[in-house]
Amino acid sequence: MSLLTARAATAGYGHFPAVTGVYLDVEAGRCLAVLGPNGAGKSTLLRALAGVLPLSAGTILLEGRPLAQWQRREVAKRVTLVPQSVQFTFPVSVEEVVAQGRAPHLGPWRSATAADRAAVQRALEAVGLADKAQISIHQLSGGERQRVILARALATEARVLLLDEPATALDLHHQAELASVVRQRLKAGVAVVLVAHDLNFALALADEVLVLQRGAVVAHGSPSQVVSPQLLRCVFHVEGEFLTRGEGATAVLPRLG
Amino acid sequence: MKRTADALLLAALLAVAALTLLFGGPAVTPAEATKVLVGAGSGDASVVVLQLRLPRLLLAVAVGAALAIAGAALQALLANPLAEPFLLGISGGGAAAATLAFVLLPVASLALVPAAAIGGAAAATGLVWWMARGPLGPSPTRMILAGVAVNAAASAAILVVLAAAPSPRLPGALAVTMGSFASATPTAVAWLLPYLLPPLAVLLHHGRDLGLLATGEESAATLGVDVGAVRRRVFLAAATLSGGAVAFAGIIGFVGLVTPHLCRLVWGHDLRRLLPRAGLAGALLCSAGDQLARVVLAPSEIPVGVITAGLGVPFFVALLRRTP
Repeated sequence: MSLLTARAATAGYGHFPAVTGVYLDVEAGRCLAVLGPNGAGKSTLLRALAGVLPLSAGTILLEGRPLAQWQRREVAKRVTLVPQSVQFTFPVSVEEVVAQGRAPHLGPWRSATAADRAAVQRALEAVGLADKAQISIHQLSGGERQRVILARALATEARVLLLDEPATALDLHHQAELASVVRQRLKAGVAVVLVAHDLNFALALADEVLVLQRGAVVAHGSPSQVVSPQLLRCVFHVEGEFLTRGEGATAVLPRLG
Repeated sequence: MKRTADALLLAALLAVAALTLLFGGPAVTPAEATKVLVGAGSGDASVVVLQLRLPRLLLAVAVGAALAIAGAALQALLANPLAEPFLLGISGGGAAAATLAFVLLPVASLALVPAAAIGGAAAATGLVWWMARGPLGPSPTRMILAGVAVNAAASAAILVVLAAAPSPRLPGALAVTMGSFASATPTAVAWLLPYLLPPLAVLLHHGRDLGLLATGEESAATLGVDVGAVRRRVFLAAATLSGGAVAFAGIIGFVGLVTPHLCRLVWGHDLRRLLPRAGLAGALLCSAGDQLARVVLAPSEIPVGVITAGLGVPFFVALLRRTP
């Protein structure tokens, strides 16, 4: 079932649309990878899908109803965005940040219940930061902060997870852990949209790939159809080799320099 | 530990209140004041304690709470540790409008001066926001620079008004520019409350949203905050609190800056917990500051704004050095 659907979605900043006429379906238990060069409109598309950037044309439907007709808090219970970075003005603790993920469920006055605290604890454990719960966010490394932001999104228990470059600051071990967290969510029926520059990380998770170039969709289909030497050449302007591993999985080796 | 801190804060506030009411000056002895408070006082002592000391205490408490809560809310809303009504020029805008109202209104009634002050504070808030919001959103430094510009304009406006003011109106207009609780009357306190209670309720209602906004507008929006609506309401509430405070007690700087930060050290960053504590701590700072202002150079009084600035300026410098 399609949880989130974009129909001719166009969005941008001021008079300049950063993405134009995008059609896509985000289905429960499936991962859609969005690829493309810098400035192609990938993050803009995620913001529009999360409902935090209004569309200038087209529609985005959440569970069949236009996003604009939903209350902000109801959207936040169902769709969550993990941005590339979040500013932390004050030295809040890791646990306080992750607990913010429960805000859409609590509203202005309700206090956190045992169920809310359990969701926060599960999210902290999923990203391997349960032992740093009481530490100030300002004392963490870039990669650790990225995991805290992911944990905050996991704590919302939303059915659609939008990930904007979630692995850029992570070491290899934590990239593998992130991939396993995302796989668990997919198995639990969560729909995932993943923006990534690392083609191999995207290919490890994607059921479907969408390629953006200058704000428009230039390719959309299964990973094996879309990710090809032509894609590397035409969209990313690099040459590369493709290694086929067991079970048809592909790894990309771009030629750098 | 937080429970102990709550108890200490309340105890300190009650102690200052008792000191103010019992030892407020040579006119009435503590023994006489005690009699008045238990309902057995004589005429003159009763007037001094209930018509002079009590309103002055209540005004300091209300204004301190208003400024501190407005400061805590603005710091979170703007994700800016330097935000507060005085530095952002909100109090200045309110004071300029209030002095103008004092001079221009035919019979400057208590009801209209606060309304003018709130209007001026709201206009200053809008102006600062408009100036600070660049193509990449507001930056903390831009925001403070915008506050400097608005403050300068407000000071200039106030000087023009004072220079042109007819002499019988001068003392009232001048009082707005100097923070003091000396003019407190029971009527003034009664008038102030309707100006303060609704905005306080609005800010407390948005406590959780403000905590999310401290992590940036987009981050707050993804967690369910209707950013545009919350920003409008919080700005208006903060402007009303600051304008109301200025109209009744003049410009008192740095209470909105120092108090929230001190409270954060003790009670953490959850705005729902922080806002009420900041309110109590602001009330304590202003009422204790007022006591100091009366005794430091007794028998003459210094403006309470001097005391809060004395505490606030070093704190501001330290914060500025640490802000990126």
